[in-house]
Amino acid sequence: MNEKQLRNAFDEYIGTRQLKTNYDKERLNQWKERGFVKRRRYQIVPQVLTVILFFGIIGGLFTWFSSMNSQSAPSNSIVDYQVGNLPLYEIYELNPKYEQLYIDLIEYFISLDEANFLSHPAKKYAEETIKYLYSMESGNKNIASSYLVSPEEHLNQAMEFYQSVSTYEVTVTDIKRISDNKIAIGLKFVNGDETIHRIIHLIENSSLQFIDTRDLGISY
Amino acid sequence: MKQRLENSFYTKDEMIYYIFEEYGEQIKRLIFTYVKSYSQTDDLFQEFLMKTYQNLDQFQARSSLLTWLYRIAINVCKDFLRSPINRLFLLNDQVKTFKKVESAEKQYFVRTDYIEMVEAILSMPIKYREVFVLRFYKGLNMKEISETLKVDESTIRSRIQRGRKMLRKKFGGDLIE
Repeated sequence: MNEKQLRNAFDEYIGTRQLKTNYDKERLNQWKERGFVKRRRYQIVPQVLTVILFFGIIGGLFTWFSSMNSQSAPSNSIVDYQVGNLPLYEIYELNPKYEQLYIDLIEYFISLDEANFLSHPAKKYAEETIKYLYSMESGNKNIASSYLVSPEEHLNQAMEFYQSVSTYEVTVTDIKRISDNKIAIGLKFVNGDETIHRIIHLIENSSLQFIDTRDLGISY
Repeated sequence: MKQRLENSFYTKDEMIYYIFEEYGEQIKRLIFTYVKSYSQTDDLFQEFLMKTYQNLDQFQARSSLLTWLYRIAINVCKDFLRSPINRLFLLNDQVKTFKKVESAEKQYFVRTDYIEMVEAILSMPIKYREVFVLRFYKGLNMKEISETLKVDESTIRSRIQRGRKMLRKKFGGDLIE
């Protein structure tokens, strides 16, 4: 093969027009005057892509870890974790009785779960119940009303009850499924010498909600 | 020019313009064989001019000026090719460039075995491609290639041998002798 022809073929392949242009000279002059000027396309885009890539990886890892944690946590284990903006451990600090109540509720709900009566993990029911009771006790109407299916009048009455029980012990007396979407939770409040039985009905709609009965004794 | 640079008869500005006018075209064509993209060639040529300007004082007449300029251009290209983000851009640009080159060349040139040979050489891995380009396009001898690439002459020879084998596989027979 002829080397000269090959050399010409290189030139033909790269292009017969001159690659060196006046624009190259202009850029050289610009650089000498103001410092080296790169084409914007290559100056900005790689940096932007790097930033997007970085945050993408961080976001991806975060999502992956979150999903791994939610999968690996046993559904019926007794663990503290944040429900909405209200962590259970903060509720326990304010009223330690809720910690034991939570454990009791879990046990009752697990027994229902074993009979395939529950559509959510047992801890979900227990946590929602604790959060509901705490919202009532703390007098936060906005949060409490989001848990209560009943009209506002009923909310006021229920709230009045929970706020009146200043020093008390509370235990679960019974939990039963009474219809397709309703579970009755029997609670016993001991306030000094006084014992008050109360039933709240847990409604299994899209977000678990409650119907709070007044002091009626244990009956479903 | 060697003498000029060595004895600093001229200012750096005069020297860089001389290099631009005298060697600019062949340096740009060399850069193209590495990146195979016209727009990237423009950018890397600017980097080459900048580095050359900054290093003019370091040029020693021990090697030829052209070899020294080739070395700077090759280092600029290799730095670029090592960057992973730029690899991504290069791949994208390369696809567009090749389409453009092929259609343009088809219009103006009869495709010959030589053009196919060039295509094959430019699609070889860099370490084989560069010795073929310097040897058969730029017409450098083994010693000059060795100086430019800072690689032993024996290594250059073995790369050329291996490169030839690759081409023989593709085209059959001894195409470059």
